[in-house]
Formats: sequence, C-alpha cells, structure tokens
Amino acid sequence: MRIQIPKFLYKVSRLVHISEAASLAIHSLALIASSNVRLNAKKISEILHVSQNHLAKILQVLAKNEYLESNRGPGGGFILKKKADEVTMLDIYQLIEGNVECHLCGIDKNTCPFLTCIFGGKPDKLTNEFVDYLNNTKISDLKTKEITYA
Amino acid sequence: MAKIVSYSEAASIGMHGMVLVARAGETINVQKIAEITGSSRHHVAKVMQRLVKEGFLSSNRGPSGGFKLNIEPGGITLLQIYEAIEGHVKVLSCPHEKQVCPFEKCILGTVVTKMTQTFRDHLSTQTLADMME
Repeated sequence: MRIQIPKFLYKVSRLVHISEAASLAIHSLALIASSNVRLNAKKISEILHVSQNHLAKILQVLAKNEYLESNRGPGGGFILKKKADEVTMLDIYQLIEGNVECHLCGIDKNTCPFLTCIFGGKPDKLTNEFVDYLNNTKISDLKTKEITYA
Repeated sequence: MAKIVSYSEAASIGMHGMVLVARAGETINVQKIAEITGSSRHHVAKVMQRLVKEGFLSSNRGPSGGFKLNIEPGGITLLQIYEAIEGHVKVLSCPHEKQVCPFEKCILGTVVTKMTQTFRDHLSTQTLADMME
C-alpha cells in the first residue's frame, strides 16, 4: 500500500523571495569585475555552478543594457562596461525584475479592511530595508575568494 | 513589480480568516470572510476547510452555519496558521541553496536571513488573542 505523505509535511516555504535571475546577474557582474581575464558564459557558469543556458540569457540582458561589453570567438567573453563602483546591486536587481514593490503587505489587494495590520507593518519595513541594502552596496564591494580564472 | 516579502493568497486568507473568526464571537461564514478579505468564495472555502481539518476550527452547515474557533485564541499563533497552509518556513543562508560559493562573503550579507527571521518571529509571537482589540 502506497503511503501518502500529506503535502504540508514535506512542503517548505519562504517568507522572503529573492529573484534567482537578479541574484545571478549580480553575482556574474561581481565575478567579471574581480577577474583579470575576459570571462565567457561557460567559465562563469562553471564557477557559479549554474546552467550555462540560463546564464547566457542573463549576460545578454546585461550586455544589451551597457553593463557588459562582449566579444565573440576564442579568447572572447565579457568585461565590464560601466565601472564597478558606479553600479549598485539595486540597479541590477531592478533591471532584471522591475521596480521593487514597497507599499503593499504582500498581496494584491487595494484596500485592507483591518484596522491594524496583522503583520504589524513588517512586510513594508523589511522590504524597505532590503532595498536600502541593495542601494548601498556597489558591485565593487562584492569580493571573491582567490579564483584561478584561466 | 517585484515582491520581496511574499506569501501566497492562501496563507493570507488563512491568517486573516482566523483573525475574523476569533473576533466574530458567533459563527462567521465563507461569504462574510470572502467579502471582507476580497478573495473568492471558492478559495476561502478551500482554505478554511484545511483549517477545520487541522483542528483549528469547527464548522457547521445550514443557514446559520459557519466557522467557530476550536482552540483558545491565546493558544494559536499566526505562524502555526501560516505553516498549516504553506509548510515549514525555511530560513536559508543561501537563497540559491548552494553549498559552495566563490565569494568571500554572501553578496546578500545577512539581510535575507534577518528579514526571514524578523518576519517569522513576528508571526510566531502573535496569537489570535493579540488580534482581538
């Protein structure tokens, strides 16, 4: 007899959702900023342990928006176009995901009938803190460990 | 538009719904809860049934039917309601769940962990009794 595990027992949830694509874009830029050689999608995907296809699309978006410069062929790859100390994490996050919603409690409702927010206003406050963090952290602040790029 | 702190509509219905039941005193039905929360009756019914199964609520049918609390309002937290619907809240250090990372420090710092903890702590310290003012 097959034992059915109730969904809620193995389901896990997160209260905070960080866009994977945006996070990948930021990691890639920081990696390229730290590197002394041109990196291509394949190399970056190996260092970050992510799918090369997925990464390539994100790098295209960054190149299209003038954050990266690319050249093809052997020895080709990406270098930074905008300087690392002139780009914030927020710039990239919002490039990929659009503006961060700061004024909702998390659900698309226009009016809330409760006199006091049952969440104590925390979702708004925490979101604003996150946006501040992203806005105050530049790509040049993100340091990598010693990596052999060749 | 990107949402950072986010939870499903089901979780919102569950938490807000339970607060409404606690405050109602008498039984409150799906229709009423749906009107107040602005959610569909179908969705509200589904979520409230889940909470009946959990033993948080009792329900009776009929014209004056609806839901009543099956537990003391002081004995249940928002987190318990949330987790009954969404599952255990995971506090992760790496949002990508990677074990290996080439960066000296996580680029997100401790911000994501702190946010999750703060929101989770709020939910775990608010009982339904705290919501009745």
